[in-house]
Amino acid sequence: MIYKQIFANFTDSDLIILGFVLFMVTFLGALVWILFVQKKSFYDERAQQPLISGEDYGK
Amino acid sequence: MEYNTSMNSYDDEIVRKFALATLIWAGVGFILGLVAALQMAYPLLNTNLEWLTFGRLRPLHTNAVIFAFAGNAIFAGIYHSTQRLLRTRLFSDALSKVHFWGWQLIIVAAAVTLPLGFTQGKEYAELEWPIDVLITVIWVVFAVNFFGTLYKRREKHMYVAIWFYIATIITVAVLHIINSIAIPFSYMKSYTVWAGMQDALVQWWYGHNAVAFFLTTPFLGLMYYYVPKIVNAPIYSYRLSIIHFWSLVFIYIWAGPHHLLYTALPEWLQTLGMAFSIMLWAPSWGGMINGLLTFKGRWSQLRNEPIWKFLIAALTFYGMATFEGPLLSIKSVSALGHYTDWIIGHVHGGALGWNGFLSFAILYYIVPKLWKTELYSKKLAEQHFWLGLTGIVLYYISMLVAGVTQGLMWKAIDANGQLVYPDFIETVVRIVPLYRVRALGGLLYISGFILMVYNIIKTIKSSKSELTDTPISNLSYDNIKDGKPRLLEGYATLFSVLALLAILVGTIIEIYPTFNVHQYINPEITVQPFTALEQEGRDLYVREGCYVCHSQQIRPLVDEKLRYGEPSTIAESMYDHPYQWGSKRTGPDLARQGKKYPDMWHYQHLLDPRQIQPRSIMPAYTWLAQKNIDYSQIKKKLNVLKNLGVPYSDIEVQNADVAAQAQAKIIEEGLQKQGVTEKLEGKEILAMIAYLQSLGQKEHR
Repeated sequence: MIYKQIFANFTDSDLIILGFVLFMVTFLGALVWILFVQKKSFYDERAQQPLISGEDYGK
Repeated sequence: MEYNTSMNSYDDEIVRKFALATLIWAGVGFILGLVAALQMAYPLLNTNLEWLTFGRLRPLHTNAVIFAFAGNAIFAGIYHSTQRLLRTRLFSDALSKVHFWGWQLIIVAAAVTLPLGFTQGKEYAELEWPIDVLITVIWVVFAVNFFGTLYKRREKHMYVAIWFYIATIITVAVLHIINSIAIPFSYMKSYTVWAGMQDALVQWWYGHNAVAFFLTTPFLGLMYYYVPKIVNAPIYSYRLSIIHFWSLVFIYIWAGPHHLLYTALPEWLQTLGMAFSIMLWAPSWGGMINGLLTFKGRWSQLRNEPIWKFLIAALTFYGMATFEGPLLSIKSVSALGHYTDWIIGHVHGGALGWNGFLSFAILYYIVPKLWKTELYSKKLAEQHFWLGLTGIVLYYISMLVAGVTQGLMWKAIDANGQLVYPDFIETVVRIVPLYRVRALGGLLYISGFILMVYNIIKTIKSSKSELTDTPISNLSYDNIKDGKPRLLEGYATLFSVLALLAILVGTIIEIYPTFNVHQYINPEITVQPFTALEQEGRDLYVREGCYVCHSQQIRPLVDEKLRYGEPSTIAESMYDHPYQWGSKRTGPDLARQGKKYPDMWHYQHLLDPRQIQPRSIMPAYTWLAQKNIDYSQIKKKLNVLKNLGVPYSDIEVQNADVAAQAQAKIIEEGLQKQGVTEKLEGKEILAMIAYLQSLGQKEHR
């Protein structure tokens, strides 16, 4: 498996596996937060920012 | 520092300045590229002038297109979009002016110093230490101006484009400072503190991330603003943009070692570079998809809108380049493609397609607005697009074919286990016609650009309005203190710190372990440093930009062992400040060139390569036999190198000039015995010969 080849080149595989797990947990956690926890309407508002003219602010 | 009290309008004047500078330097950079391309197809175009050789002009071309053209385009776009996204004028008009004029001064300094041979010999970081200091100062000015604007914003939510600008500013500062650390020994010359393998790693950590954080992230930020503005539709998926940003910024910084696959770089680093480069495909295509799908439901308008064509093509070339990059990062693919023109094709597909076309689209969009008029001719813009696109396709395909041809010819081994093409020149001659096609592609690209310049000039001239700054509307609206909750994108400082941490993780993990280079070196190996004369010759090698065409790094591949000898080791280059492993083989690798040919061969070859090999495309270096070695600097040079860890004794440093003169005398007398009648006493060619004869001779077991 390719991941074994990658890790085999490191001297401290425990540390590397820990780093990999931390990275995956952070990434997946962020993914869940962004896709499922936060309201879509918040992001839809943000996406409009370049298009809003000054007069529309505050409405 | 002036604090601008006029909060009622956007500073459009600075954007106009940067937009015009973009156009001017684009022309300079593109023409330099065409000249360099023609020099490879017609080597006599190198002339007999030392300032115009390919080795000196190629760095000028890369600096012009990256820092002058793309740099000014970035600043124009960032200053234009940031003010509007944050609904506030730039922090300081004075800082904006210092930024603008300082940056142009850097470019002019580069244009003067690089042809004169003042170079640190590191790709995309050639500029010598005083200019490096100036770059740091101006970048800090830019950072203060940008973050100051962020601090006084009226809109608390930072749109995604702003995140990319933040990441750009922070990371470029880190990259530039670390890679540029050098010890001067004169007003315009220095030695990098990094050496050998470590310099290679730092250089390509910098070099690939110059691509990442100077040519990608700021342009992605511009894409996220200008595509919605031009198309008049929100970005396809804001959630995707969040995942895109953080993945890209975290992963990119690790990718540098993919430039060093199969070199003497430690295996674990190569593997990391390869793995992260392949992972990088995902966020890169996330950005591309986000941009392209913003056009969803509006494709029919593409027919009538040349600016839309530029945007779509830019995003497509971005996708191509960011697929091809990970592909080239796979070791087995790199074994074929590295050092070849395939890499040049890959770079230019991205640079001409993504950076060039996106810059053109933005300029076509903002110039009419900044000059309060309409674009002079959509038809001319359309013609520019098709000329440019044809040019890019010709460029890319010719270099892809050239690169694969080179790679396969280098690797060809017959049934007896011998090289099918043992003479390197055979591989050069086969691809010279493709250099002509590449030059034609570049010419077409420039032709399209000339149409653009005409179009923009006519547009500006048609402006009849007074050029006042655009007022900021609805000034009373300010949601900064509205008390409503905000997410990470509402906290500028926290966001910036997290972006910094994201890029530091890969930086530290890859670079820190290499600080102790001795852990990678067999203790039974001893390496002699260069003699004083050889070091002087090395500095000439760097000055002339020889590394631009010649590598000094033999890979542990069957064909390379046959052609060049034993693979290069970490030890051999451990005292090389800067490293000169090279990244391109327009000419053969020189790592074991030492003692391969007699001094007379090198003498004749340097003065006229075609005397030795009639089909050579190498420039002639006639001035090496006319210019004198500067013996006054040699002691200082060795002293600096000694302080950097090169094991010179105090006596060697003290007697450096005497020893150099003595060694030069031996070479001179040897040449005279073989019939050279020219007076060569103290000439630079003696130092260059000494250096070339030392290559591959310093490691002993």
